[in-house]
Amino acid sequence: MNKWSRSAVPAISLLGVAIVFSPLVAALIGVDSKTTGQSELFHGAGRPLCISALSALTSAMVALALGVPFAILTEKARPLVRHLVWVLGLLALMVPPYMVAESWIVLLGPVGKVSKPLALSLGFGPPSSQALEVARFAVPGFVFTWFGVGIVMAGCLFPVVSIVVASVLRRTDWRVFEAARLIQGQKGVRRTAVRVLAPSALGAALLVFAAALMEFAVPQVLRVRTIGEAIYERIQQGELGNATWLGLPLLALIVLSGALGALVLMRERAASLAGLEGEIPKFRARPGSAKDDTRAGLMALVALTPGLLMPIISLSWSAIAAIEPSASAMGNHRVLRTSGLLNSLQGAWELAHNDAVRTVVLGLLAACLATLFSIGFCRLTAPSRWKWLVGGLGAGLAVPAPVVGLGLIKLWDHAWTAGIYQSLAIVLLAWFARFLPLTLLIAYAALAKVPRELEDCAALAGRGGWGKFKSVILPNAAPGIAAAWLAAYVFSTTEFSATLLVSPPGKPLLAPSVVNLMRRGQDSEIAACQFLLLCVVALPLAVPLVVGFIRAVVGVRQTRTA
Amino acid sequence: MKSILVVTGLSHAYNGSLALDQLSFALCAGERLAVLGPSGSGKTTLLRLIAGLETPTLGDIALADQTASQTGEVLIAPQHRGVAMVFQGLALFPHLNALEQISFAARGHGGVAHALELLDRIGLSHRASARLDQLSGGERQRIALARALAQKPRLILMDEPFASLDDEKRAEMRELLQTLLDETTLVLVTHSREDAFQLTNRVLVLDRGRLRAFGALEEVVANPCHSAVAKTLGLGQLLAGEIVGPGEAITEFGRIAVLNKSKSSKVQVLVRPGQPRIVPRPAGVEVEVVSLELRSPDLREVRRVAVVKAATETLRLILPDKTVAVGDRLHIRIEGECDTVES
Repeated sequence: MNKWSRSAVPAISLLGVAIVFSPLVAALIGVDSKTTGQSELFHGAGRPLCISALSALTSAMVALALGVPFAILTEKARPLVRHLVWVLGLLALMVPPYMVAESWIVLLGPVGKVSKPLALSLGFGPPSSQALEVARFAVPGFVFTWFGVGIVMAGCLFPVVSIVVASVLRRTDWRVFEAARLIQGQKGVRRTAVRVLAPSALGAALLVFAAALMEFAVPQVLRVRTIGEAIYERIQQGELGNATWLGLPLLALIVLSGALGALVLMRERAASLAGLEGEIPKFRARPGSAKDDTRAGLMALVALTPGLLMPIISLSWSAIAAIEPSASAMGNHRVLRTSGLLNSLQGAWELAHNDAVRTVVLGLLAACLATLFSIGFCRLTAPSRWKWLVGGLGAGLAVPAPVVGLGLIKLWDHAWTAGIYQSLAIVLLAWFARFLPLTLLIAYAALAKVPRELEDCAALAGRGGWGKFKSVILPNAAPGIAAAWLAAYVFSTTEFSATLLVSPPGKPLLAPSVVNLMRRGQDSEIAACQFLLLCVVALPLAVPLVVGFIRAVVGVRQTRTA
Repeated sequence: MKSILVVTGLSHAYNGSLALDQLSFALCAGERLAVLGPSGSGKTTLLRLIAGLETPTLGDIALADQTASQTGEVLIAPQHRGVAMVFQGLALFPHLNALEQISFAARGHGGVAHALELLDRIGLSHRASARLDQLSGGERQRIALARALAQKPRLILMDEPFASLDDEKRAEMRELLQTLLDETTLVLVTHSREDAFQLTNRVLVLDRGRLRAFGALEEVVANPCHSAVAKTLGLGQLLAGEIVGPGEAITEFGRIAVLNKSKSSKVQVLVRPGQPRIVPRPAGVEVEVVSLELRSPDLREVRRVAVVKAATETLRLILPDKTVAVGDRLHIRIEGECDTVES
């Protein structure tokens, strides 16, 4: 490590800590004993906190139930099916949870497109078959409850459990199962599998619990009053001190469960550096068969329905319905004045194109800056004694979005910082505070996977610092770095909670606009705006496709010329 | 002859534990050195220090009369040392094909033309565009070797390069290496005595970071001065003994004639294969046969070997016939002069 690098480590570390933890510190500094009515405050907060905890617990348990078999069966399938199912699983992780919640309302809500006809056909409808009675009939259901919130979050977050379980499976030498089978038969295999997988799966479930606690938009869409909603109400009423007090138990619960989950995963080496540095078992499972593919496909269908298929069905249904708009859908909204999906999208574009463009530009900027920072940070802190800094900044993931928003308001809402507070820079700061730790962890994992020997070899072959990075590290870590960039982009552009709190007036962004629309808009209009949001999210995925297409076309032309 | 590598008082510590302790030796141009020693003896650390990939905690390394590293400092960066290395895991670049791997190192040393020539010399010109996952273990080994040679280095460091190959491939690689190396100086870290004997003419034995032997291979084999050398080179069996007179030591297997080089009266006696012999009663020492083995040192004949036990120590004894069985009691004597070694 040269002198420049040595002096750059504290500077870049301080910058990282300031970006990630300054909102938390600012929020906590606001906690003082002068805050009025604390007992009333906590008395009123008990129920929302319980609801938050219950829904998070439901998420964790359902995520376990979906994620573990999903991972096991997918890993047993043949490569093509395995890759396809994993891509779908990761897509489920990319769909904003509030869109999933909206799809549940549209399909399974009290007047859902699936639940109501089903209830009527099964004879659970009103005694009279009069059209008005039927129209008034609402299916009593669970969607607008804490349980519904839990199921929706599980549908979105179960891939976290699956990824952890699959990573443990991939690192496990399959001979241990063969040995267990020889000793105790299938019972031995099951017992061994439980012993191998259970700790890591539970660690991942704890992370899901923490992540579900942090969710703010889904309870809002499903009209469930959680602690996040209570914090938001206080902020709206200008009681920032009380909002901070309410954030404390939530923060404690998230930090406790998140830290416990991370500890378990590190102990089980599911998230350890050893795991990331390419420990590959010598023996893998036997190659899968068509039967394994079918099982994996069926499991994927079950697991992906709540978080991926339901939004797709809901959006498609709304789009199809918009082709021939019904009288009720004709409302006074300009989006649906004309019929057809394209026209709906055109209407959504007219309604929200400024928000969308703003979101894309800001998202690209945030993702690029976060990725560059992460690469620089990881490279500078690569010597082992600095490695803990990455973990320290990674802990920033546990700061809940309302606390980030609240902290940024306290930190920047001053006359002398109005330039930042009243511009989109404050949103950029919020996104950094929320997702820089994630980008950092993914980039770190990607860079740590490149064996040190390759760098040494490049050094002996005459490459300096930049040469090594360009010719060896970047090509080998490119997929991981791209994943870090993508995660930063997707999670930033779909972020709702902190964005809503800090967005400057007159410069709305797409995610808060879509969630607000969910509370008051027409189904088709919401669907069109959701399509727009999905297009924004999928934009980076389209770039390689377009580049690939152009290359293919150029290749064909060159071949013809030749 | 001009020294190409001079190591003086080299020590290296990792997290407070000493990996190398006060190592000094020199190597002349064109010489080939085998570095032998048990796992964890500091062999790889020595190579990394010579390559400039680690900074010495204490001591100097000079390459062609220029100090390359000194205490706490790397004076010549790895890329400017004229040193190439074949890593234990080969460290081939996963994103490059066979030709690109070699071209990567050949930049500034003849470029692609030189890379193609080397590819041809290792017999893989038809695999130029093959990616890493399409190459067999032996092919990867050749590519790694060619990549090291592509830099036209003055010194090649090889860290157990053939560890993952079977005997046949290992022999092939040794032949290839002999033809490719020409006059290039080589430092070869290996566990294999066969590699050392066939490829090198000098040997350095390390044990727990300390240099136990350094010199011409024949000299070290003829005069091992430390038990670690005898064990590492597989020279024979060691017995605990005590010097009882000039040129005589007593062990559990009786009195043995020794060439004593030790100042201490307690010594380790090196008994080479063939020295223990069965003698008629009542001569020699009575031992019990505890197990029987088959040995084939040169693959031309299979010998029966008995593991015999005196009081506590065991010894391997080549059997002249098949009449001996486990549990039999024999009388043996160790014939000829044995070396004594430090422990």
